[in-house]
Amino acid sequence: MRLARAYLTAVQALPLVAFLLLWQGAVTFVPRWKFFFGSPLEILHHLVSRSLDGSLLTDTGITAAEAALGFITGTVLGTSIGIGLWMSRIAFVISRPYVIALGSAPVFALAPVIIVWVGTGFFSKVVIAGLSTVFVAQAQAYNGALEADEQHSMLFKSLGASKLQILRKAIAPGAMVWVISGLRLNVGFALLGAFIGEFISSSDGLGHMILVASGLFKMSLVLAGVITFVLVALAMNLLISATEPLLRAWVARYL
Amino acid sequence: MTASPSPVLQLLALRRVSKAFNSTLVLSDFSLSVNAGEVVGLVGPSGCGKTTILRIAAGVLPSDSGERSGMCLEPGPAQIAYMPQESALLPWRTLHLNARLPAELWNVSLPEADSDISSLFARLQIADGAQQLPSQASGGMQRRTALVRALVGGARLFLLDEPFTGLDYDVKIRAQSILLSHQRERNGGVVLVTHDLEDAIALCTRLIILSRRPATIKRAIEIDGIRERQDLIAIRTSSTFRHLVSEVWDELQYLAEPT
Repeated sequence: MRLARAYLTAVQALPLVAFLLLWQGAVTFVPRWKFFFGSPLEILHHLVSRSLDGSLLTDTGITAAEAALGFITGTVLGTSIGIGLWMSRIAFVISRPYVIALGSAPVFALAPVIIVWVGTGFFSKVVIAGLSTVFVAQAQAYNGALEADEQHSMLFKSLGASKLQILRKAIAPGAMVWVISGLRLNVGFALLGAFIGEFISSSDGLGHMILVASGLFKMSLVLAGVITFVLVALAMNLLISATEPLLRAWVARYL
Repeated sequence: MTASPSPVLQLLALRRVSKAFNSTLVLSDFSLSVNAGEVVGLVGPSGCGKTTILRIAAGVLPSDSGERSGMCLEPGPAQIAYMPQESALLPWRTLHLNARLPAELWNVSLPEADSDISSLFARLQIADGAQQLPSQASGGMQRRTALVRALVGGARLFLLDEPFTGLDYDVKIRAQSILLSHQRERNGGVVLVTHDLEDAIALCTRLIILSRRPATIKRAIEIDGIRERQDLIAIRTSSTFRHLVSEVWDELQYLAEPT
């Protein structure tokens, strides 16, 4: 079985290796193609040299921090808003059209406005990343609260639970379970938000690095940035996968 | 049987209760009372309103008219444990934590509740699955969890809607004797809705046969004595028991016939 798995991995890697070889071969034989496509060796060179001088790590760290901070604020805020909307029927009815309108507005198109308001620094990206996640979290929390209310209110009523107890033991965990299952989606949105913010105006971060490189037609550096970005996204996804069961256990235990 | 000298403790009573769903009358002037020490069985044709009666008694469904009274409704610690037909477990809680919910809501000592739950889980043979989520557990395990949830927390009146469906015979008998011992210990009461006539007759002190919708009490049979001397298996072999089963069966057959 183990052998079969190793074999499978090898076979899976084969197309990638073939592609890289072909790519490298092509740009070696026709040097002007390098301008259009970059080359695997050059990408590797950028990744290694920028890792060694620390700039790649700084850029990656900044982008990841912006996304993470935005993700956390957006999720917490969205969850609170979602549960709040469940608690107040009136607030829900009044705010519904606005929430729908804001939720469907392209946050990325608003990014320039946010940069004008908050500045070109770190926090404007946090705000954009937060805005990109807050609506998903809010919708998940509201739907989760609604479902918990429909399915479990009879049980809690029969147990003579108070309003606060219902909120704490049924609505909040119900909402949070839905939010938790939406985290993976949202972490992608947060990263994209941070990236877009950097792409519009910034002095560091992966988005900045890619922006500058593309301005200079350094295709290999652009691609090195993209690869790093994908790696960050993968790492954040792994982190979410690792924390998900812990969060669920926490919800079960303490709510 | 000696007549009990102490005054009768009325745990819960419904008086002249009516309920309609979209102009379909399900209950009309229905009355029922449960006293301490009683196990009341509700049997009747399907769709006759048994579940509705239980929900109104549990206070989760408001009736259109009529009264609900009794000792169990007095202020103070909660007294009624309702076990709905669908187990209604919280999907984010493990089976053990699901069973603990009433104890958490009622401020009962949690360590005590935990040890009660563990021992009941062990006796009902679901100790291995205590840390599973409901979605990972079988229907029978969910049912047993819901039963344990009703038993811990210290309620005095148990309103149980088809509590034993999907249980193996031996587990079922065990669950029934656990239920009866809890009820006796607290001098409590049980209202049992079931399709299983033999279960109803083996467990109940009073069996109520309901008519078709709108449900009215067609017949109430006091089942005295057969339970006092024997265990739940031995009861089922007695001739009184057999006789009662066929008698109630005839009654239900008659009710099920189209008019």
